[in-house]
Amino acid sequence: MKRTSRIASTGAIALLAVTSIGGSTLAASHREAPLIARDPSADITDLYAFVSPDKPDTTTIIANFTGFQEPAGGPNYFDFEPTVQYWIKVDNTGDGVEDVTYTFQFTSNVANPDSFLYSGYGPISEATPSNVSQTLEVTRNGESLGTGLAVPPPNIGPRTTPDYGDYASKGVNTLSGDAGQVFAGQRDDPFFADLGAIFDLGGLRPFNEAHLITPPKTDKGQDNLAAYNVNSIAIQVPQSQLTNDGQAVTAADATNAVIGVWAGASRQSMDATGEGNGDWVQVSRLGNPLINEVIIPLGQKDAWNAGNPADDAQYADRYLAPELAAIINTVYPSLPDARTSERSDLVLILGQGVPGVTATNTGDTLYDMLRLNMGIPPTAKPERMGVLAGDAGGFPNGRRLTDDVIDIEIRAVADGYGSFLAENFQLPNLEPNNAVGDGVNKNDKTFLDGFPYVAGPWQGYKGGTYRLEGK
Amino acid sequence: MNASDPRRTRTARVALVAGSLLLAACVGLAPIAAAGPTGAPAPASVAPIAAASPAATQLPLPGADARIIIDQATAAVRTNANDTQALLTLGLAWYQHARETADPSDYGRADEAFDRLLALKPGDTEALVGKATIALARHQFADALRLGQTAQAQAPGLARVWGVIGDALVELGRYDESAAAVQTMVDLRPDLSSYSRVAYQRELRGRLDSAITAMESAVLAGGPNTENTEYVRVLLGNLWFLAGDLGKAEASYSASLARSPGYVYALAGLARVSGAMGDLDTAIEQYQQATDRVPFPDLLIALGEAQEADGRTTESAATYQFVRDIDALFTANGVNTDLDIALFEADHGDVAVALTRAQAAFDEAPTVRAADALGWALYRNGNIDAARPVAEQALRLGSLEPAYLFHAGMIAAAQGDVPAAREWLTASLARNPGWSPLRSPIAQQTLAGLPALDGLPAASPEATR
Repeated sequence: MKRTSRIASTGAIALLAVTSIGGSTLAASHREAPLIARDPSADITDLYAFVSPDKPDTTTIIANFTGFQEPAGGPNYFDFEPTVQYWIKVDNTGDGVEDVTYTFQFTSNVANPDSFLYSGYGPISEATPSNVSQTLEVTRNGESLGTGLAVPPPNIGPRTTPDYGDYASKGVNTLSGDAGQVFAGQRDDPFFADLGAIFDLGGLRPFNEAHLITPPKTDKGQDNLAAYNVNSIAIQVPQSQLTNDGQAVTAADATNAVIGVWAGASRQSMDATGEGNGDWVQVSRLGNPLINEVIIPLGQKDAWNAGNPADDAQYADRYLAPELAAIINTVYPSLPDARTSERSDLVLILGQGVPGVTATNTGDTLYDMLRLNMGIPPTAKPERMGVLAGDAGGFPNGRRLTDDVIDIEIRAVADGYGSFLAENFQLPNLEPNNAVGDGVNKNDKTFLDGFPYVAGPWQGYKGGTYRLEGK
Repeated sequence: MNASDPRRTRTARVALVAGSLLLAACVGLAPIAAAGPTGAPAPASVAPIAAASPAATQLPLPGADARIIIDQATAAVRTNANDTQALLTLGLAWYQHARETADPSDYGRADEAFDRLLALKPGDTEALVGKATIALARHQFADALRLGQTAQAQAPGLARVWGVIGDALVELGRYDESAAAVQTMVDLRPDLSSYSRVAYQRELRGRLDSAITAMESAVLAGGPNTENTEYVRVLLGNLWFLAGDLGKAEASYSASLARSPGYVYALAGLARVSGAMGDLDTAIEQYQQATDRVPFPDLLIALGEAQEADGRTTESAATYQFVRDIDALFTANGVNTDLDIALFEADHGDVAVALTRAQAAFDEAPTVRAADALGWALYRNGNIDAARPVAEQALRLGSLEPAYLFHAGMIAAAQGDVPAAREWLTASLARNPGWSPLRSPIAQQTLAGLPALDGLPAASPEATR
């Protein structure tokens, strides 16, 4: 797959990160430290939650961090960062406050700091162990479920990590007390989207000719996340570990069926003039996909990232009058206009839960959580359009790896909800708004049939060839 | 930023629709660095030592990546004068270009772009932060504070407006308030930006160990392969240099240079280490390499001083003249260089000019740095008694800066205050005895000449030339 050059559209993004290199004027009379620094190690990129298809009495939650990892990312690769606390939170009472918290804390071990190699002098094995390695501690509500848990090395190449699947399988750890399993390690990035087109003023390649600005001809969508890796933290736990009564879920309308999930990362503050670290401060979080990016305004990003679902009602105006709808109306003038105000539908679906499906007993308050009804069994043949296609096993009921959240959200914002939701919830179903999409409907790698489900990572040795081969 | 840059941020995946409004939203997402001189990891041949570095010719020109973005954003604005996203991009790109090329005329271009953006979007937070950043770069700190506070009033939840405010307050000498701003910033968002500012607050107050800890955290928080990480890695190197651990300083600078080939401040750091180890030939080569690439005035001064320490007076005089030429350029482009020139002229030129400019800077804001410059300028003009209390003010926060200690020590020696002279001159050499090729020997000689008891003639100001 040919990568699209995104210099123009992402110039500001690139620049913001480089604003510090070069130094200052005359005698460095003041410090020009970076003002805008991304925090890739703590950056959550995607969150998934679903009833495990092969073990339906368990729920799987996957939180991905540190995206766009070039497979040939040596010598440092993209380890989890030991000073960051990664976490997954679950609300099972519907008040937007976590009832179950899993934390994931990593330790890095470097056997020989004088070596530049990540590995040892040979394929990583007991005989030639890796120079750099990580282990993991998992806690649930402050109680340790396992420490020193294995974290697989990155997929470096045929000499260092031959038969990578073996290394990865050692990364599936059992949690103590029948609390489930955990995997934390490098994976293929399961997200799929045509970012090149989307960032080019809202382009959707299959719909180029409907676009306002001199459209190139219609084209197929490109998955701009293809052949990149990501760091995945995945847990698979018995439902009773997540419910408000400690019991399994017996029906979709049971009072313990619905949970709200969000995940993120925290760093410690510091005493500005003295010594020592301060409190843990949340620096990133994610519940539903694309809320931070599309709904939350710039001036509130850092506060939002540090905030909690319980305080999300303050952002309701942004759901009710989404900027995105106005943009869609502008750049696709031939499409019937989506509503740009009073979008209580978006508040409902993304902030409160779909009645009878994912509604938590929260009443009218908006909390950004990925809501999952654990009483709805996994769908045998998942539809990528999830609930919009009548598949109640998918987004916005949780989020499966195969759910096409880009297309689902575009159509929802564009008031093209599809016939299922139109008939059952009286939501608008404009045509052809109900058929738009970026043309990228599935991931470049096939997902696994079993935990951790996310596909294995792209190999470093083959690194650049993935892109040259046009994958 | 090249198309296959591995360090794309995740937030690039953001958004269903781009349009100029959405891109404006994306701008705030502070992603992983991409543009800039780093590309693939440096080839092994990049060696800052040794004469003509062949690798230098393979390096991209300074500012090349910023130039690409400038050209694209300029074209976009030409197509649509109301493209606010492109205007913001343009402003940031010009600022970045200035940082990489030492061309102060870019500040005006950046400022103009931000002003055009404000005309279209009055009170736009990003434009205000952009203008504040330009004001900081031009050393117009009162303006920077005002702009930062305006931005803060509308976006108090955005950590970096507190960074701008904290930076401005430090340079206005309002140290307690700046610490409070930085505390707010790091409590809001602990990351590389805030950790590096905490490190500076600690360093100002002489807490070197905890400053190093904070800066190490900043380096870790930068993540792999990002530009911002290399900047703070150099800052960490500077802290190790201050602490006198030349090995760790060298390691930081080398690591930064390896990841960011051609990064001039990393190269200059290595030059400092060479100088501190007494290898003036290498130091001069390295400073020359750095300043050939980008003629940053502070590095030129360091080059000149290394040349002077090595007895190459013709070369150092030429270097100093180049500094004056560049200063004229900065001043013509609205940069306030009073403090920097005051110190430079006090040591290498017209002491009367030094006093005028130091006084102007001090009157504007009595920072510890301004106190140091004014105290030294007074001393160099022969006004020892007036110099002493001012130079002491530079030490009031507990700074470990050897220049401040050296200046105070020399003034005390001139006064015949032997205990104070001995204390400060000793302290200036305590951690890093080779910290300045010019000043370390003077400090040592002066210390050696101090009488065991009071009574012998004091050193004279001219002796320091």
